[in-house]
Order: sequence, then structure tokens, then C-alpha cells
Amino acid sequence: MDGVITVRPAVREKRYSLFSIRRQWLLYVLLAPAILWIVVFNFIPTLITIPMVFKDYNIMKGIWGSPWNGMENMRAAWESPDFLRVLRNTLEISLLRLSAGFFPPIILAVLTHELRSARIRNVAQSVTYLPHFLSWPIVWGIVLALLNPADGVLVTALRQLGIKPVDVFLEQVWFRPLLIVSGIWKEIGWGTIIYLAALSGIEPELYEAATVDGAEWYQRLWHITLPGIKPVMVLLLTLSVSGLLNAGFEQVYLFYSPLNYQVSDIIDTWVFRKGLLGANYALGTAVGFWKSVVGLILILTANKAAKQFAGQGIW
Amino acid sequence: MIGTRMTTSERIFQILSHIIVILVGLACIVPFLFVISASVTPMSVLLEKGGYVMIPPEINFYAYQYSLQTSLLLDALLISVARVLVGTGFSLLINSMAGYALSKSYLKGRKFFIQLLIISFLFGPGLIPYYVVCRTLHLVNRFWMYVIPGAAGAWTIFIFRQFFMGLPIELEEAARLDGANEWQILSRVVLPLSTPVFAALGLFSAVGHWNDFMTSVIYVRDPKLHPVAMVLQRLLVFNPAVGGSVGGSFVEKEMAEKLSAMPAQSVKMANVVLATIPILIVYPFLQKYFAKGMLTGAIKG
Repeated sequence: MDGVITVRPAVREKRYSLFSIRRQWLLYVLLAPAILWIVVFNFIPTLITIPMVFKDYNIMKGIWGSPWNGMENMRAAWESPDFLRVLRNTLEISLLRLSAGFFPPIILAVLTHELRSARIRNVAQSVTYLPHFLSWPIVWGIVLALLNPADGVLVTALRQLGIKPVDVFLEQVWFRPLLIVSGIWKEIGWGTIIYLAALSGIEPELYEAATVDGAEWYQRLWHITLPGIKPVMVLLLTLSVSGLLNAGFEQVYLFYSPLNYQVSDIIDTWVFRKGLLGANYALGTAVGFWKSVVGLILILTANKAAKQFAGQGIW
Repeated sequence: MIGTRMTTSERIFQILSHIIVILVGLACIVPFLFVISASVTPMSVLLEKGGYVMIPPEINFYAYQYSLQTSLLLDALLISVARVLVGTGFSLLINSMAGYALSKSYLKGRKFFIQLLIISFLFGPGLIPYYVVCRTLHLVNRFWMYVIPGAAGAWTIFIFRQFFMGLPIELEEAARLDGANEWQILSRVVLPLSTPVFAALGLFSAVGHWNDFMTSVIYVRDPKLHPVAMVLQRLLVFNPAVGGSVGGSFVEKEMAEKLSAMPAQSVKMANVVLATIPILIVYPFLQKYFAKGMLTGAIKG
């Protein structure tokens, strides 16, 4: 008996450790491609930014062959009249998006949640989620159908009413409203999902008790619904700080034109146009470098703030 | 909710809520109806009314006929389909493998690898260094640019990991006791249970591939390799009157010839409708899965 008892665990242990080496090996094989990808397409471009910022990069000579030029690119970036303009545009567009776009999904979610008819609730959700899945070119197509200065539906309608419509593509004051309204249109429904999930987590008993106590709808909203979604609101608001330098590359690229660069050109579009298409690689990299550095600070701040105020961060 | 008696203010609130939600819902679809109506509006109506109207007095489908006969869209469709299939398959493969590996608590160095993925969240490499890397790897101006660089993503890996961690460990152990090896456990136990997460993330990836045009704008400028979204973008920003374009892309002779024969806007709108159809087809499936996918993602990796 003794022998059996002492031998068996030893055997089992040996088999398990054997297993475990094989298991480890398999897991590493499974993990390797993803790690390779992250290194090649995330870490390497991040690392080569440093030499590229301090060199006069020439695409023919390559990174190692290009001569160092010290702080020249940084200086050029700072001194470029475009830099401050695109930085300001980026921040202004982001803040406008945030201030105009933060509450509409919340309001829609609360109202949807309050609807007594489940059918209407479901249909409303299906319909309002749809624009999220449409590509920006399709959204731009819709904008053209409505507002094209020559023959858009709304433009024609105004003309028939005897009102002279403005050319929203020509006058730069219209650029940002167009950008932000179409952005809200695309994402309002999708933005409700996370709030509807939080709302469905509220105990129905709370509402029942409130109704029994004779609470009016606004009292219910104020004392039950709002506290129920407040943590999610705080979380999303703090996390949105991390995206301040991303003002929506795709959408801006599609919507902007040389007529409104003054108010529409953002860091991403500028780096693409001037840096890449205009072959000012070193300058574009320097500006992109600052974007990455500030972006890193913003995301760390946002995560910290979210952990502090909402008790949950990005990681 | 509950309660059979409603106070007056409650009733007004209900009515207002319905009105607002229905209006928002209408606002989400009505603009698209105008796109459809513009796509079937013939030249005669345009001349008579001075522009597009909400309900055209007469309609025809020439713009569709024309788009489908001559369209750049049909060539682009091939690229789009190839890209959706290859890109989605590839991304699911790489990310699910990594997610599975990271879901095992006995993986040595698991913490380290998770840290690596989190770090990849933090740094968004600049556009130009990224371009340089892709150029060095001979991806620029190639089809593979669409499917290779974006294949692995920390976010998707974390969602897979979350899912695999939720599978009962007993199943795996039972299979192991029955003598199954690691590959058998993966293919016969884990994968059959994972269809929901593969379906959800696969659909998301597919829609992302279908909708993406920026990769073409930045990295794949060869028009022969443009997918539907990019061709649509080129078509929409193309302005025959100016001969150039609004969005800063290039003059295209081929496009100019094709557009000059029809009410340009109707052709553009027909193409918008055609490009939307695939999304509408998968939308019911998306709906079934996305809430689930969104929420798993939201409960952090």
C-alpha cells in the first residue's frame, strides 16, 4: 500500500509536467503570430519614429542612410504656421463632437427605456443602430442627396419655396455643423447600447416602489434612472479624454475640401496630405510624433481618471 | 412597465417619449429613402423641377442598369469580397489563437504578454512610420495591405480571451482524461462551443473590411485594387463640372466618360444604394450578435 501511494503521485506529477511542457509549447505556437504582428505593426513603427524625427529622412536612402539633422524637424514643425492651426482645429472639432454628441444617445436611451410598448422599443433600436454600420462614403452620399448645392432634395425644396439656399460646401461656417450632425446621426443609436444595458440592470422593484409611492415620471427619472446610468456616463466621459486628438480622420478626409482647410484641416489629414502625399516625411513624422506623445499622456490620464471617478479603467 | 392607472403628466410623458423616439428612428432612415428616390429620378424630372424632389413624378432604373453594365463597382466587388473573406478569416485565426493561449492560467509569462498587448493600446504609431514599415514589407500598393497589417488587434484578442475563460474547464479535463490530445481538445471541444464569439467578431471584422476606404486612400492607390467603398468615395467626390474633385483625389478620365452620359447624381446615388445592399443583408445577423459582442468588450479584457 505504502509503495503504491508514494509512487502514484510521482508518476502523475511527471506525466503532468510532461503534458505541461507540451501544452506550453502549443500555447506559444498559438500566441506567436499575434505577438509578431503587434511587434511588427505597432512596436516597430513606434520605435523607428525616434530616428525618423531626428533625421532628414529620405525614402530612397532609408532610415539608416538618411543623415541626422538634430532638432531641425521639431523646429520646422513648431514654426510651421499650419501646425497651430491643425492642432486647434483637431481640439475644437473633438470638443464640439464631445459636447454635442455626448447627451443625445443618453436621452435617446432613457426615452427608449421608458417606452411601454416593447414592439416600438425593439423597432426603434433596430432602426437607430443601422447607420453605425454604413460606411462614411455612404453617409457622404446621403449628404449629397440632401444638400448638394445644384440639385439636393432639401436645396430644391427650399428653392421651390422661394428661399435662396446657402451653399454648404462653399461656405466654411457650414463645415463643422455638417460634420458633427452627420456624426451624431451615424452614432446616436449605437451609443445607446451601453446605456440601455445599464438601464436594464436597474431593479424593476425600484420603479414599482416609486409608482406605488406616487412618484411622477420626472421624479423617477431623477432618483432612479439617472443614478442608474451615472457610472457609465462618468466612465465614458473620462475615457473620451483619450480620444481628443482623434477628430475623425475618415470623416474629415471625406467631408473637407481646400475651400475650408482653415476650419477643417486636422492633424491626421495634414500629416497625410503634407507629410505623405507632399513627401515631407520628416516633418510629418515630427508632427505625428507629438500627436503620439500627447495621445499617450491623454490615454494614461483618462485611464487614471476613470479608475478614480468610475472605479473602472480601460485596463 | 407596470401600473394600469396613468396620471395625466405620465401620459403626456409617454406620448412625448414615443414621439421623440419615433422621430429619431425616422431621421435614421428617411435620408436614405431620399438617396433611393434620387437614384431612380430621370433627367426629365431634374430639368422640370430644377433638382431632385422627395417623390419623383416618374421614375426609371437607368442609373442602376448603367451602373451595373459599366460599373467600376463590379470589379471593385471582387476585391471587396476577396478582402472580406481573406481578411476576416485571417484576423479570426490569429486573434482567436492568441485569445485561447492567453485564456490559460498555466501559460508561462501570461502577464507579460498581456502587458505587451496593453502597451499596444497606448501607442498609436504615426502614419508615416507605419507607412515606412508597410513599404519595407512590400505591402504598399498590394492587395495584402488590406488583410495583413490590421489582422491582429489587442481588442479582439481580449474579447476572445474573455470568451474562452468563460468555458467550463471540466469539459477540457474530461476530454483529456478520455485521452484527447491538445489539438483534439481544441478542434472537438473548444471550437464547437465557440461559434457565437466567432460569428460576432467575424461579422464585425467583415463589416469593417467592407466599409474601409482609408487603407486604399493612404496605402493602395492603384485603382485596380480598390474595393467598393473606395470606388464609391472616388465616384462621390468626383465633380464633372470642375473636372477635378472636392475631396482632393485625382481626375479620372474613365470616370468622367461614364458620368457624362447620365444625370451624374442619379448614378452616384444608385451606387450608394448598391453599396448599401450587402450591409442590409447581413444586418439581421449583426443585430443578433452585436449587443453580445459589444457587452463582452465593454466588460474589459
